[in-house]
Amino acid sequence: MKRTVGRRAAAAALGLCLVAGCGADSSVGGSTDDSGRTVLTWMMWSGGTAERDSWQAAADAVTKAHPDIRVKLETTSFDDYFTKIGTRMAAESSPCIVSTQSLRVAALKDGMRPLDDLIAAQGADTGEFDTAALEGLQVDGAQYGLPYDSGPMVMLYNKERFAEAGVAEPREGWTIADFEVAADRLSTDGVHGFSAFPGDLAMFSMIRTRAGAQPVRENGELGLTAPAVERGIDWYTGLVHEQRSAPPLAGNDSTFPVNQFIAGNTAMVVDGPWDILHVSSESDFDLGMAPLPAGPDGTRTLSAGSGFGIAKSCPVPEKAFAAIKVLTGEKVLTTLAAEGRAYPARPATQQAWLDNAPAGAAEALGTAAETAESMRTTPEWPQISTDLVQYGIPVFNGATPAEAFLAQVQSENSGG
Amino acid sequence: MSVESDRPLRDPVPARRPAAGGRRPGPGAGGRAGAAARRKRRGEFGTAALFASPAVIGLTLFTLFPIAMSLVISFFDWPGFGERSVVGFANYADLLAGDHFHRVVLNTLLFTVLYLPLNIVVSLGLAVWIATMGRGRQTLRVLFFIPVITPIVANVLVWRMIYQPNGAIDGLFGVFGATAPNFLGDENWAMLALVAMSVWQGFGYNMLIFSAAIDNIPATLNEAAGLDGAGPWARFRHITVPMISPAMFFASTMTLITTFQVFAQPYLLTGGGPGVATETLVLFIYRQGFSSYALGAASAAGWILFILIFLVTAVQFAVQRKWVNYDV
Repeated sequence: MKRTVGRRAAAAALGLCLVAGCGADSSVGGSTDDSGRTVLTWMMWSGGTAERDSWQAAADAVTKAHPDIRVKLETTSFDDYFTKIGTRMAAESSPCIVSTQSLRVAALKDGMRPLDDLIAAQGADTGEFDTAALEGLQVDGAQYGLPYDSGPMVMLYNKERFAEAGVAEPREGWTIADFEVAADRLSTDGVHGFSAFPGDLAMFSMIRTRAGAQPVRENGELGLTAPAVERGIDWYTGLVHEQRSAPPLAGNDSTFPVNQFIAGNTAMVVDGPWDILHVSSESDFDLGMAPLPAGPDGTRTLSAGSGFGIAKSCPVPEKAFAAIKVLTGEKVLTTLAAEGRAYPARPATQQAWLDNAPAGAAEALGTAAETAESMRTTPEWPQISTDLVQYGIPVFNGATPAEAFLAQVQSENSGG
Repeated sequence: MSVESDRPLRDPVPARRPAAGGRRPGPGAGGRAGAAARRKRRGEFGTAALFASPAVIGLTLFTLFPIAMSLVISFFDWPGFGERSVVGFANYADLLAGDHFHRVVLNTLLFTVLYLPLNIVVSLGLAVWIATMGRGRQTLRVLFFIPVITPIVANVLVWRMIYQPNGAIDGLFGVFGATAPNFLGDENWAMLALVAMSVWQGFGYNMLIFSAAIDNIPATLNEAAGLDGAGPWARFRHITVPMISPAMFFASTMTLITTFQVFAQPYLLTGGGPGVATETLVLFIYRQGFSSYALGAASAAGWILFILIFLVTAVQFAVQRKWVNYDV
């Protein structure tokens, strides 16, 4: 009888194990594999097999540099990534190494640990990174990640459309007035001069150079109702409903502005380096690149990048940081740059990316990097960026005033 | 029908009967037999429990536990990170007092009011039409069912191209020198656009159910009614509808439940916009949970949705006695 009870208990335990997962919980990292190596789980977004292979090669580079560490890569689509990582952090089952965009780091920081002590202890030279990319992964002065890519926003333009319309191509030092004239003259016969959309980074980059303000103040407070931001939004949305130099918006498709540009329906679009090789290969016209037009205080742009940090729940942060140093090291970033996966956050490795980029990229990105400041966000930014699109579209189409729109997003996301 | 088949079928598993002579188990040999039977039953129970355990464990872990947990969470201020605290009914009170939530509930009700009748009318109409056809019935059924099995993302891509400025509808208007409304960018049109796409996507399922029910109506009924002079409308009203009323009840109940839970269409096609014109309850819950990480408010909204669906379904069950005919 006892044997029967024992067998049943074992069967029940096995069943529970199968469902709940037993043994060392490798999902949070810090477990040890059969070879005695520390296993660190790393979660990263990926758009397909080739991209996953690139990240796997980066993970393997960690083991090569530190034979006592094995990085276990988990990938998911970009669209799902931040939902999954947020949920896992909330459940305290986060992977040790957390990938994050700079725009999302404020939202995730409560699940991550600051790296400043590890940077000092392990002697990481942060001066080798692009300043804006590094600052993008800071919250309240603390460094929450090391960047692997850098993203100063630039203006992409269709050289052939400019030539057809007899409009001078944008060049360094061009102004907002030049931009408006070009956008207007390029808007003929159902096509438009510019792609506007309430996507946070592209829209606020133009507003930064035009009106001199970011949506988040330097003290970290949301400042959507600041007069300069209101003026900037008024002007930017007016490109659609007043000047009609950008097409009306429909739906929440964030790829709309770039897709319109690739399809030849618009002649200019603001975009980051992560998209440039894709746009260049998809479009059948000569692609041009220029810094954003200069506003009252000269050419300005915003920058956003991505990088790697460590979850608060990681039991072996020292080893995780050693791995991150490799993942953001010169060797790995040079490989990623050569493959076109990232415009690397280390300026010393950027030539590998520029070698494959369209002509003019080095000059445009060089100027953009010099004039870029990291875009500031708040912990509520994921919801704010959704609200900007959802509530912003009627503003672009002229159905709702900009002030009411900004006041609504501000009041719903003022935090606390 | 053969004579054999008219005989009552034998129960393939004979029911247990008391032992012949009605002997009751006593303390002697009968008692030992009873104990053996009890042991056997316990053994059978153990085997049954073992076989049932995967389902029971799965149900407990993945259904019952999350349901109970979401109820518990709904009484907490439960951020994604940081301190959690009990707030009682505050999440419910905040939701019910909020204009945004009112609008979201109204949007869901509006979607339901527009979608459900349209879905039933289109699917029933096509099912009736297909039933009158000789050849090509199966082909048409397959064709109409394709949108149901096509991934919603693909459907949305196509419909976006249909709706957007310079899209298919706008192009058609252009032939007549007119400009189509900005269906997805105009607050007055977005919900209608969403409903139209959803009806196109979803009617095929109910059409199949109605087709099967119509095919099961004995042809003699329609023939007899025809001989008595009943026209197509009278036959539809007095034969088809009563005969397929159980299927109609099933279809309308299930469609109503899924309509209250609509998520993918607004999430993919409009993002809930423009403004809040197409933001539905489940989209609201998703954003509360996974954009704002306000898990307490998301859970409370989930329970309000459950109560809404429960009430409406209960009303449907109460009313069905008056129009659903099970006597055939």
